[in-house]
Amino acid sequence: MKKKTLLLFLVMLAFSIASVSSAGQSDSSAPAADENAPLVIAIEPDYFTFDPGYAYELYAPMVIGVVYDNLFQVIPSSDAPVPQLAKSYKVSDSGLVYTFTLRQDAKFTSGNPVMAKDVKFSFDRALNLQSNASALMDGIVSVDVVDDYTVSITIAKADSAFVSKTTSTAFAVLDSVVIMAQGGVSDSSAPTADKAQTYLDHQSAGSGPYILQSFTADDKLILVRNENYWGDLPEFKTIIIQDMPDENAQLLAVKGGDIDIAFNLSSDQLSQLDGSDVQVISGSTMTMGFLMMNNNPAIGKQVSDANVQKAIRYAVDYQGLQTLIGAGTVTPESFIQVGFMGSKDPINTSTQNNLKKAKDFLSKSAYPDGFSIDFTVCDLAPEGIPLTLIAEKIKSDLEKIGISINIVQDTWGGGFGDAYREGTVGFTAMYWGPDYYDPNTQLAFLPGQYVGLRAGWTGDMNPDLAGMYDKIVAEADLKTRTKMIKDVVTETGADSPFIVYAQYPKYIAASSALKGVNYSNLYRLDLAAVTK
Amino acid sequence: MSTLKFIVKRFLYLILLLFGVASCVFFISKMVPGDAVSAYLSPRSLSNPEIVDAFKAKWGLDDSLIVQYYHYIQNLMHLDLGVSIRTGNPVMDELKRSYPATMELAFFSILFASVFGILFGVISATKRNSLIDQTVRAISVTGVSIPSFWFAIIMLYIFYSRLGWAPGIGRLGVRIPNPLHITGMYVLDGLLTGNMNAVKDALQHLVLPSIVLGSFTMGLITRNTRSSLLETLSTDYIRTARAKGMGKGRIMFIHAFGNAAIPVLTVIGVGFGNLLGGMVVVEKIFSWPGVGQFAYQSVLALDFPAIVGVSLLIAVNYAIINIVIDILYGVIDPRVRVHR
Repeated sequence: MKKKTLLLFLVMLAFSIASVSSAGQSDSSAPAADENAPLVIAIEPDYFTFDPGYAYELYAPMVIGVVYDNLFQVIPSSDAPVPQLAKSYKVSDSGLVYTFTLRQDAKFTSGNPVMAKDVKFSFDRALNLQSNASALMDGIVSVDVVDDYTVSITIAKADSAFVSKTTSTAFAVLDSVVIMAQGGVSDSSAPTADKAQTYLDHQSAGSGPYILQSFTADDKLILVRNENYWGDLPEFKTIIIQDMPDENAQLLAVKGGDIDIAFNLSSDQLSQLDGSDVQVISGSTMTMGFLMMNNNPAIGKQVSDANVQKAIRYAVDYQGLQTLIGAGTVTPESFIQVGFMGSKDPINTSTQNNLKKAKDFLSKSAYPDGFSIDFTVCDLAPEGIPLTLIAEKIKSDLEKIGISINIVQDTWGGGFGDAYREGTVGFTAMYWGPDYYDPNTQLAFLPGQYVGLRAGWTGDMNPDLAGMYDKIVAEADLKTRTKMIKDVVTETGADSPFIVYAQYPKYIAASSALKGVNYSNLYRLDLAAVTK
Repeated sequence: MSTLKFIVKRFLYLILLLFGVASCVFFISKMVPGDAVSAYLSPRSLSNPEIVDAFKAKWGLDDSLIVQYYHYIQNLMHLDLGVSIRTGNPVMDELKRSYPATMELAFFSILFASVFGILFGVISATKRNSLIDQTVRAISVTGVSIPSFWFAIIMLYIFYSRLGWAPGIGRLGVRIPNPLHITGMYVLDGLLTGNMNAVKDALQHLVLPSIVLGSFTMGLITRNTRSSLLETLSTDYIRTARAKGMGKGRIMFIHAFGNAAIPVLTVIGVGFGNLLGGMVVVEKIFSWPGVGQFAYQSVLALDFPAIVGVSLLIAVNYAIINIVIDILYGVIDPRVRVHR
């Protein structure tokens, strides 16, 4: 018995030691050398569906963007959408009917040709599912097949951003034959009758350069090249997107060569890559952080005073905030992000922060000697930077002009989100990312629009500015629209309940052997453009 | 009471317990602020009442609380845990997918904890108050008190990044295909299908997370083994055995350890239950696609059907482990059976 017990212990011990000592010989740590080696990307995932009718998350477009084609697409070298499945389009004189002519050489992975009926089925389905994607299609009255390769879309109100909107994932074109066979429904019964999501979460039915081969939630996603793609073939035959929610694990893995691209490293972690075989690509996101001061005196209290708002505008240390957020941060003048049509150059942070001007405006307000106020901040962290950190910085900035703020912490899901949407938060820091790649999406911040109303900024407070919404949305001429947007920036940059404190940067750490790794606001990364 | 009667009785208790847990989790999840509507729908969608209504109708959120509870219990009786709002898949399917990964890690963690915990405990008791004893006690205190998130990062840094002895995160190397799915446990599936490459790689990937996850339980087992053994070694029958000239090893492993095993078994059982509940941090850092990871993502998304499903799974685990431990008591010490 004694011998048996001892033997058991020894076997278990040997097993444990053997496991440890043999681990270093893992195949997984061997560098990828052959030409069939997959591209391996690590991200902290937020996606769970790749059904264009439902997807809304930040990283879903990275996958949907390469497995499906849209009528138009966004490419880095152009600030306006360029044709993808559409060859051309024309708009009716009323501005309400868009007629798209499709290219005739595009095929789905099933071999079926991409036709007008597929566009109609895909758009009708996304519109009728009543999902987050449907919200992006708001305003479409009907989608009609003109002939096999011509489709016309009628919208309720003239919309100068309509073609830009068609680049979003909601407008991806699906193989209607395959999707209907999988239980896809495009009529008004879709919210309950459609059963195609399960299929689309694990396989794709598109005409893009890649095919979704498999997806296991919380584990990995595999894309394989569509060898029959109608356009130029991408270089990598296989792409693996590995769930890696821990940033430190991503850092170690990209340094060790186990992965080729890491998506979620902070600027501090990037400095630890010095001397390694990893390049850091930085890009400016369209994610902007802003302070919101409620114009309703019952809610905003002291910060509803226009002179207080101007005082705060000059008291904020934008340069310090840029340092806090990380290299590559810029500060737009107002809520039209730098890079959008009609935007202006970033503000000069050294002159914008002017304590003398700040104090002058405060002295003209109803609170010349300063005041004390609650600043509510939630637990969100845009691009990895906690809003609480921003709140601490704002607190120290405003103390310099005699405004004492008391930071009140709240959680987004625990009540702050509802209060913020209902417009009952007085003074806060929040962030915003555009729904589609066009400055019109930012007009939601105008008085009377749904973000403006969250700051108690009603249309009657500034009827001229409020009226700009309809004018800009309806304006078909690009030059005129650009000028009108510039005017909005100038006016709201000087006086509004929103102070944009930063436009966040994004970093991608990638193996030095890779080329074509560029941050894209719509797709995060255009996977088809990556080469070695 | 016969063992069979005992087991039947405990299973009836288990059903009652699950009903209680299910009801508590349901009502608590409805009471906490924040709801799936605002967690799931985008700001643009929330501004559209038609989309909000369609979402509520789809997930049964427009029913009264009592109707929701009735449907929930009714579904539960058919082993239907509902559909995860986050993933769109049945919660039962998600648990079936993630549970084997967690069980595999929990098994190897408890194996590590038991082997080293008992070994260190025996050494410590045998060499009482020596330098070895002091060292082992220091290791056990460290194991119990070290925060797992910190320990995990340190282990990864040293053994993966610096020394290259261990692979990184995940259940398998990123470039290695998963073994054919039979049980969902890669080591077992690899063995069953003869895929030794996957077995080897899966075992290597288990080493670091097993050590991190098992270190707390190992510390507890070491301390309990040591104190139980010391207590038993000071009893009269051990003294008698020594007086009769019995060998040290025989006294330790046959007479002393048998009697000291019951408290140790309790610690192992509780430790196993704790492992399943405490997977979240370790699974996140090691990108382990198990129940902990699923629970973490579900909580972030306020996915209540999923949260309820995970809570029930953990409750079932605890209850079953307790039943198994109770039965094992009887196997080890027949006196326990008499008193049931």
